[in-house]
Amino acid sequence: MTDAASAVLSVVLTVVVLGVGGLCAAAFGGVLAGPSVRHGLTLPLAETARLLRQRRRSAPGADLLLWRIAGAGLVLVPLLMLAVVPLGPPPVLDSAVGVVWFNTADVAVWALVWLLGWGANATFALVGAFRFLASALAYELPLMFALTAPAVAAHSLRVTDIVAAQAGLPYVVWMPLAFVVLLVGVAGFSVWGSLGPAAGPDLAGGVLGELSGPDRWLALTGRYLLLVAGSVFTAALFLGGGAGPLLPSWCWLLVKSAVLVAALVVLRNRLVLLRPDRFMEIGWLILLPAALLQLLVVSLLVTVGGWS
Amino acid sequence: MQALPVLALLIVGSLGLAVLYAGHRLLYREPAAVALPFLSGLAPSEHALSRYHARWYVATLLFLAFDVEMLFMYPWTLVVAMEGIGAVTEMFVFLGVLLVGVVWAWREGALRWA
Amino acid sequence: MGLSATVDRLLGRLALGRLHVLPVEVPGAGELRMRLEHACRVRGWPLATSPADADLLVVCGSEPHGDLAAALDRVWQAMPGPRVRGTLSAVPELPGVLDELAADYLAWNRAEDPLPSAEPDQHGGHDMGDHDMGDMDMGDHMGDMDMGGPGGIALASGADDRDGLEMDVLHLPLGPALPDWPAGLSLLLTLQGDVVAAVEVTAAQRIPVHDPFAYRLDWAARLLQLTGAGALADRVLAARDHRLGLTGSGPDPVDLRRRIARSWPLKRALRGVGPVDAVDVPVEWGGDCYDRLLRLVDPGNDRTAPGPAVQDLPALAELLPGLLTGSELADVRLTVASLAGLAFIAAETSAGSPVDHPVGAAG
Repeated sequence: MTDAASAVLSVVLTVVVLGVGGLCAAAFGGVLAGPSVRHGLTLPLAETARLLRQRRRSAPGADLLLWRIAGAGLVLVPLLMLAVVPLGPPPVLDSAVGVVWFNTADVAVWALVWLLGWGANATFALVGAFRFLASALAYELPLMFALTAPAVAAHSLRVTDIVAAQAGLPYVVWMPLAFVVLLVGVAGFSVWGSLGPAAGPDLAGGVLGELSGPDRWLALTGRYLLLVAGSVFTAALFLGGGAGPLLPSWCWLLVKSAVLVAALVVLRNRLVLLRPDRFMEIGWLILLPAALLQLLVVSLLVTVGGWS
Repeated sequence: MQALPVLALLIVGSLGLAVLYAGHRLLYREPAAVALPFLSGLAPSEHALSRYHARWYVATLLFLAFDVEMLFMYPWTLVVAMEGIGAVTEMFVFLGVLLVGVVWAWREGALRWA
Repeated sequence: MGLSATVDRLLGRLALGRLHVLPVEVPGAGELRMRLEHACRVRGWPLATSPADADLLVVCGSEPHGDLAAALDRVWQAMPGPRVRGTLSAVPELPGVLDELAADYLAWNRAEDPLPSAEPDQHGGHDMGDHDMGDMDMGDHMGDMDMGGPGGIALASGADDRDGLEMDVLHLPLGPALPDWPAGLSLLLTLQGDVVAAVEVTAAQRIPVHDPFAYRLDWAARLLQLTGAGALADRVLAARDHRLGLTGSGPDPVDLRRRIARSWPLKRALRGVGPVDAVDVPVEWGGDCYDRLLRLVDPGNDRTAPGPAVQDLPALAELLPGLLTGSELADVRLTVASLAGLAFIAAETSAGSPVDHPVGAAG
């Protein structure tokens, strides 16, 4: 296959995986929540139709441009996150620093979620926006350190190298702490479940509270897409990407990502909302030392023990 | 050259956005409704855009220290296997010093702000 | 025009399976609201978190007057549309009302329900009536008015906070029409950041109820929702619906309490929130939110015969300013939710006349 054709295939595959993944995540969430399985499966369609039919809103004095950019960005950033992951064919962007690229994308989410709250010019939304920033201060550093552990083991920041280096043994086996910390980070930047007080019910929807119509659709879809992109990236970094017997590599990657997405969707309502002041201590005193300890163990195994 | 597929990806995404907004606009030819923010049914007495008191500004400084340290972390991951135990020791001594800072901040109450 | 109408109708039909309902409870109509919530849950219609999210506005109880009516109008104006407003004043109306509202939703015509125009209330009585938003594209900001900031609303002004910094002050009403908030209680919070600097009680009514234990379960569920424990909240709601006779079987109350007591994340989230010294207040209110949650779901508090009772919000309101000043907004919501569920006293011992709001026919 020529380079151009391969690139086109990668682009199409990225968009399709993200779209279908988001759809399935929403449908699965609906099945868990709703009165019947059939009703839950139609959740994405019904909600999309409802939101498309709604009028858009703006508020007096609202920072409209930034508000709309936030919603649009929440859908574009997951595309960028997934661009560095090999989904079968080579990734859209086979960057030598793919891990850093992913990190940059997830930091961009800070600005986007905060802008969702700022742009609305509403008290509840503003409180939600600053709650998100406080949560982000707690989960971001452990996330960054968790990203470096596979890079140390594979001697590379290129995602395809990290996937290839797991041909023998997936990294989750000897880096479980980093795996868990990365999943917490994925929930964090998706404003999901326990790390979603920014959009919490005590703030009448928080950062999502003043959105309606297509703008609301973009923000809600963006959360699902971030969840899927983060899960696919975690599967590539820790679960060995496409490695596995019998099935082709793209199939294995999808299966592994689906397991992670399903786990995050199931856990959505089962724990409690971690408010930022409580989560700060957890992030700095539990998650960060865990990630650092994991990194120490990995570095020692790699240098002294010769593992990879 | 490597940037082209990523640009294509972004363009595809943006086209999707454009279709969404244009479709909504074409379907329903009306501008956005202006509505006051939701304040339990009462009128707002001021704009919400204001100087917000982010009480956790001390934790921000702590974050900044580690964030700058990440500048060293990423290149370090590439060479640590080659450099051996010396590189590991150096980096973790550095991280240990920063962690002492975290513990101090914790004891000083920087992580609990009320 | 035919094409867009057809597409609109199709979208409406697809959306019928998941309309978002915003129930607003007139004080005294709590049971009606609970039955409405159950009916919506059976259909798979979620409850809206805010007016922007809502398609149907259902007023539970008799026609509201005064502050609540004004609040309802503002909530209605905040709903973008397609939107339908309905009233539920008696239990027998229930399935019919939802079907009617769904039909109205489908038939909603945006030309007949024009764009709500911004009408900010102002202390100067500035007349905004001539501001017709009809054809203007409100995608851009509104021009500055002479009074205060954009839209005629003032900008936030500063005040010294506890740290001595001058930070802007926001006034946040937790008022009549807020989801998961006691009907009949209205507070005005002065916020700096998300810390409450001052609390003013603007309304607190005594509300007659028929089955206080159902209300306790209802408030336990709301408290669990606000904490984020949605799965546990659903179980408690199932117990509540069983108590109201809406379902054939419900979870075992003892088992439910045990599940909640066993949940370690819940304990960690609610410990130390809203501590109340049981001095000059009912003993049940003592402790923190976790203690109160356990009391709310404790089956031992069930009276075998539901007797008339009164939700004593004025007594609660006396306690609130001292209790809530200095705490975070999240803690305020949790504390009020836990106390509201325990504020029921037997009707014979209540002093003063109950509020004259007809309650929907008890089941």
